[in-house]
Amino acid sequence: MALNFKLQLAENSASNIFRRGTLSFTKKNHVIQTPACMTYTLRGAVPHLLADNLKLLPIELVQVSLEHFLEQKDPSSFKYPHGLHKYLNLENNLLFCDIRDPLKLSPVSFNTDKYLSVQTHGGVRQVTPDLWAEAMNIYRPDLIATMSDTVTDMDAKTKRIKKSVDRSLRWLDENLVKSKELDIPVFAPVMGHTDKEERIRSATSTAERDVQGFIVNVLGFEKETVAAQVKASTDNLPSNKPRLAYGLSSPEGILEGISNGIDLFDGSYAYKVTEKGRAITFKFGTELKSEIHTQDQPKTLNLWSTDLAHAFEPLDTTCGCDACTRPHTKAYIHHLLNAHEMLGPILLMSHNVYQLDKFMQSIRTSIDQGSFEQDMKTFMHHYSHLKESDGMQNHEDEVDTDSLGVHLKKKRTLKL
Amino acid sequence: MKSALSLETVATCSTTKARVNKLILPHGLVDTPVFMPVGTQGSLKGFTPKAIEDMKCQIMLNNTYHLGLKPGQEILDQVGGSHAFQNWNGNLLTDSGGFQMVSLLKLAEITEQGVQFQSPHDGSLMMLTPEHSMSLQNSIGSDIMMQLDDVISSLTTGPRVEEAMWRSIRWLDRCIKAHQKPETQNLFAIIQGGLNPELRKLCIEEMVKRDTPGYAVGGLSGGEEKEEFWKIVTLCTNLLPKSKPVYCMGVGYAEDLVVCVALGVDMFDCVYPTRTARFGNALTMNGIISLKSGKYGNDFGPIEQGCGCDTCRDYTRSYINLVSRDPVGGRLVSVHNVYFQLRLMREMREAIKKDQFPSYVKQFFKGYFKDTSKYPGWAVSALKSVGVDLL
Repeated sequence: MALNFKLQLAENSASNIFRRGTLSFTKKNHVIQTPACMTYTLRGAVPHLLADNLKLLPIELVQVSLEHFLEQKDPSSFKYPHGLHKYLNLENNLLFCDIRDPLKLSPVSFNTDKYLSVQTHGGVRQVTPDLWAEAMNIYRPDLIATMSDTVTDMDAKTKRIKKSVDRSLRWLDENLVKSKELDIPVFAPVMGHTDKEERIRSATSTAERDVQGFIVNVLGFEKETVAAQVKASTDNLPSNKPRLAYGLSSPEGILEGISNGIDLFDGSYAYKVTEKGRAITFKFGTELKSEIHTQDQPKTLNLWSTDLAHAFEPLDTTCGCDACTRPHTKAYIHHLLNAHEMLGPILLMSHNVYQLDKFMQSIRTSIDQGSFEQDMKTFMHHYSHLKESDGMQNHEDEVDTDSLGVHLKKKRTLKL
Repeated sequence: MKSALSLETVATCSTTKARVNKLILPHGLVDTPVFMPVGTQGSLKGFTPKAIEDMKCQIMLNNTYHLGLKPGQEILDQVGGSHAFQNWNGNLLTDSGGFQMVSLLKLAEITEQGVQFQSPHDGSLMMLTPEHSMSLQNSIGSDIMMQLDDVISSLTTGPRVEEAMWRSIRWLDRCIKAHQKPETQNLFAIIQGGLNPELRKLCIEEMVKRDTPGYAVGGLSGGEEKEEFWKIVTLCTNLLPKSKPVYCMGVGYAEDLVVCVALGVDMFDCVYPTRTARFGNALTMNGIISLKSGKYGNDFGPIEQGCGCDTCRDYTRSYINLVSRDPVGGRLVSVHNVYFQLRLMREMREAIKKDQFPSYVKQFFKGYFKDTSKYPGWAVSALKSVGVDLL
């Protein structure tokens, strides 16, 4: 079997459904410890980073989105004869290929029984089961997601949701023919959107198929409804197969997901905070030294902040990323952002990918040590859960014009 | 004048004026002829300092004007200079700040005191004096600093050219006086005189008396006719002392580098390779290719066959075309282009050491321009003047 999932029996009580497992990709002799985050990519690259940066990062399972490659009407990646791993220079990594980008909820223009639509810079593309099969055949990823009729309208009615469940099951069955021929393991999306009944129906029916894992999607959902929706799906999935979730990319989302039976998450959070000019500073479990009175601490550091202009220490001396091992100082990274230099996001992305993985490691250790529930409580108490703002908001470029020369007292000139 | 560098000539071409030197600067050895990439704001766009090291780049530029604005002199003083700030331990060269001011600021005006300009902050009048330029460059801590010169456009004619030349000499004296760290930072004089050979001779005569650690040929690369350009360059390399490095500022294109090396120049800088990379243009020994073009969509070869850079080792033209609008795309081509520039210089040094430089020059032009009819006329003349017949 190309993909083996083994659950460790947790020593926690029966009421807890958080899981600790291993995902073995037997053909590549590569084992992923779960819970874990996949690495997010944009057009097949970890945003901002090149191979020399990736060398330092604990990247294993990489997610690529087919829609990124369909921008070209006649995708060149379909013509490359050596497979997607080599095309992307990710031959030493495991590739998971899904169709849509998990970072944000992009509205679906129009799906029919025959195709699903994706938005690209080059226009809307229609993905049919044949196109999907052609892509997977040429790409040969290590793991693939089947086609699904994702509903993005938060006010969608039952009729629409029912249709999406049925459509996705039909596509699943059609895709499975190809995936079995290619001998590539499959994660099947579990549908149902905001309708609990439909989630149960979809999960039950999808679970009847010979698939190797499931995808639960709560992207765009109200925070308060997420747990119930996730549970409605996971309660009706076999426990011996892994579950991947979309829409739970933040640390709080990850913890909530794990508490409701999720094993894998997308890694888009690292990219999201990088684009906001922020560096992950949060810790978990034994790494988090917290006092009872400390609370509402920020989870990330805003490198745009003027306060950091003189901060001549690195972000985190225990971190192994490009920024922290050189080391580069917060003052320098702040300068890079203020000066709109490419190296700013490069250093932040390297740091955030590293730290997001560290967070997952700490969670796994915490589960192994039997302290997950307590550690989660501590984390939720210690940190603020307000959504991180864009660090660049209200930023005015800091310029030290006084450095440029001496002020002349005599002549005055028109103010600009 | 006290010098913080030493120069040892390792090889000279028996035909042209090309030479290979070992230049020892405070932050290490630099093999010349050398191309210096430009890290304007304390960062070479697209590179981590480690990546620059791995590419064996020994020296790069920072811009004084930009570093003065961001992060500013106070922060540079606090952290101990630009090397420490960006954590780069190779050599740094800074310009004086004057050129940037004149080109970037509204109403910048040259007076005898210095460059008068309006503060970008509130429009108040400020002055970049030779003394202040030295102070700022001392704070930056560059291994090579440039004097503040009265820089005029190479297209300027008339008495202004001579005025600028004499003023640059007076400003050189003020710079030498104001320079606080001659034991760790090398001040280079900048030869002016426009396109007038007599003025250039005069300027050289005077500036050589000041015995600065090195000399730059200034006031060129401003859109002048290339026929005029090379004649001034060769005049300067003829007259400047062979025991000092000669730096041609703002050069640039591959063919310019090859010709100027033949004319005896040791050091070059230009933003072109990194800037054009961000527009998707890759430099190769066979000319320039625009990777944004759809025709590379299905081209599964590297940017350049035989290139040893990481981009060519790991990626296809097709993939670079796909990501050409992402930061990653700009990085991939920047890596290749800087590697290309350094490779060109390295190959020239090797050829000079083997005393095979003329044939290298011919082979380069053939590969780059293909047809002799495409060879730039000025390059043919310039190389002829040093004994290389391209045609």
